Amino acid sequence: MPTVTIVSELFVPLAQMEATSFGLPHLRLAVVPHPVATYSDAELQEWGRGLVEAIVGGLSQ
Amino acid sequence: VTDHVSEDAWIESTVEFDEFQQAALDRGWGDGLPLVPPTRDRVEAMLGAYLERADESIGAVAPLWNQATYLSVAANAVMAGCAPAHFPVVAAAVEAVTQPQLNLYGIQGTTSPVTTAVIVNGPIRAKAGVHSGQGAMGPGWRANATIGRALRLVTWNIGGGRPTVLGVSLGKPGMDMATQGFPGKYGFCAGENEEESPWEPLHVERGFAPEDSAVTVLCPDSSGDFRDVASQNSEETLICVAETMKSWGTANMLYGSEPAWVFSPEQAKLLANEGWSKKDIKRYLFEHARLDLTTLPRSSQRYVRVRRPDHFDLSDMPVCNAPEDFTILVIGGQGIHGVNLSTFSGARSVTVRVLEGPVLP
Repeated sequence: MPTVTIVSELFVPLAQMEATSFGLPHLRLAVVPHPVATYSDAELQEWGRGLVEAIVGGLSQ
Repeated sequence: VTDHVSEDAWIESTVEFDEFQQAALDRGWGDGLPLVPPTRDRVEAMLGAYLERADESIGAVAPLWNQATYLSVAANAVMAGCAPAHFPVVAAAVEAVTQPQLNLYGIQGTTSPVTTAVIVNGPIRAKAGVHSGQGAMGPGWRANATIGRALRLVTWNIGGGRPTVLGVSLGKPGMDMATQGFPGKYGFCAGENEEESPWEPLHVERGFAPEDSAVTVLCPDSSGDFRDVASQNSEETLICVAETMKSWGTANMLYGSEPAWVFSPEQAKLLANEGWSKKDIKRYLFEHARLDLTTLPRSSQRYVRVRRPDHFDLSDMPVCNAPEDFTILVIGGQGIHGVNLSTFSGARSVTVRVLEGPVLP
């Protein structure tokens, strides 16, 4: 099943090792800045819009 | 020793101590302190009655989900400095941390400084030499120090949640993302002082018989001293406990996890003599360990409202979601000190039986 995982920058190594340990070393990651919690709703909306292309691209590759 | 390849789970006894330390560092093992070389003789002695089950898995350890076999756990117990008498406790603690409700996956990769604390109940305390009296949560007790450390080594060496620095030396970043960490992450193990406690022990509260041995793993992210110097009676003590517990910024308050509280025997007896059971105390703390959020910034109020919608009360926010979410422990010796153990979000403590002697499937 095509999958893209959204992950904040700090946790990219964790996500990569986790994906590898489940046999999915090429799992596509859509990366957002860290930390997510301190940004405003408006900023998060903006990030979300910026990710759409990466997510759609990843799912349709 | 490798994480999960059984034939490599010991080293030759001719390997020099210093050489082994470097080899371990090169592989990203350990906590920075010297490790006891896990020679075949030592690992087999550690396994003892478990030797026939060496390749059997106790459970999969997050976040790499490698299997913790009795053999690989024994190798880590040797490295931690355990004696064979400690191994049944270590094995039970590993079983506890591999239960899904403990959320080891979250614990291993978080920026929180959370650790896995092993609380030991029942007759195994005496057999393994686990100390529960004066200074039991501090240094000086081999069983406490090495059992706690062995569990941490299992989570790092088998589960892969190794400290960042060791990962960097491997060219692979670590998965332990703790912002500062916490000394309790080196290892945290103590017995409950059942002999001096006026109440039923923790494992009995959780359905075991008094003569059973059990370990409970809970997940504190700090250890705060509570010096109850002024209280003259049980109610005054409990008011002070509630005031201490209800602080802003703890995972308990933000997410509603399982706050744990350690009473000294003196404090516990004072409370019990005035008629308080553990259940009464939990109910009292649920009603009184509450924070008025109106003085906090709106962003903080909103955060809790979103995270704990079913329990949100702006002017009277409880530190957890139900009275039974509190864990009450009696540990330590003389003195009027208690310990406030705030615990990690989304982690539920787990109690499992300690299997002793030859245990065949």
